[in-house]
Amino acid sequence: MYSVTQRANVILCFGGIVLAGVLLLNILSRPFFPNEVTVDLKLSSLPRFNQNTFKGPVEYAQLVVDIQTDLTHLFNWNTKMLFLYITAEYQTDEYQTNEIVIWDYILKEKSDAVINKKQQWEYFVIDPAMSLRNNTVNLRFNYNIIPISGLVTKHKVGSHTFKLPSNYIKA
Amino acid sequence: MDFQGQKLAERIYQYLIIICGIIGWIIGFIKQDFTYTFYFVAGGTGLACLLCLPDWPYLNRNPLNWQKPEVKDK
Repeated sequence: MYSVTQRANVILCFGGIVLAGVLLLNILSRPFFPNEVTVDLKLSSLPRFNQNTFKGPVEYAQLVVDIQTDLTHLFNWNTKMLFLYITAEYQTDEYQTNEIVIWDYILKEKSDAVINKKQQWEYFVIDPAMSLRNNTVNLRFNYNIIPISGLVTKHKVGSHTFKLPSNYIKA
Repeated sequence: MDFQGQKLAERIYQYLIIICGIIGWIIGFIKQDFTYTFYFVAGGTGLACLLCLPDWPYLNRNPLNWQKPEVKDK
């Protein structure tokens, strides 16, 4: 503490340590905030369902979904943003779990957190195993909470099960 | 800056930044925005720098009584 540079070093270091301390307390406050949501997710339409050739024969389906949910309470003081995505899950003879992302969204603002989106689709469900016909598909809503500090948490809620038709739908 | 002043400066920056951290944490929790907490800690650090970095007169109130230099006769 006898010179200006030494005092500057000590004070700025201590400020950094206190900042890390309040950040740690911030992380410790995370479990006290709710992270459960209810989501209304359903298939709106199936405009395209056909087969094509892409490195061998593949089946593809265009699942158009409606999403309705309120994520406002997920925005607390340790939330930077939310990553939302919808997966289509189905089983084949060979593999128990097949998950394909059909829609995703990055939510940054608390004011946009009430989601009511109709007729959404981004990605085709592409199946190289040619097993989509007559298969049961389960749509699930996933949300990852990306915090200011701490670990990213992944959650999966909602479920909408439907059966794909036995015939192709030609667009 | 004398020894008493150094001790005082050390107490000032420690208490100031910690109290700013506590207040900022509470305000950030109430407002649910960590930006407030960050600005409180950064502001407390800046204020501590302002109070403790320069050699202010209030840190020089206990000067050391040095012995008078011996004057050697040639």
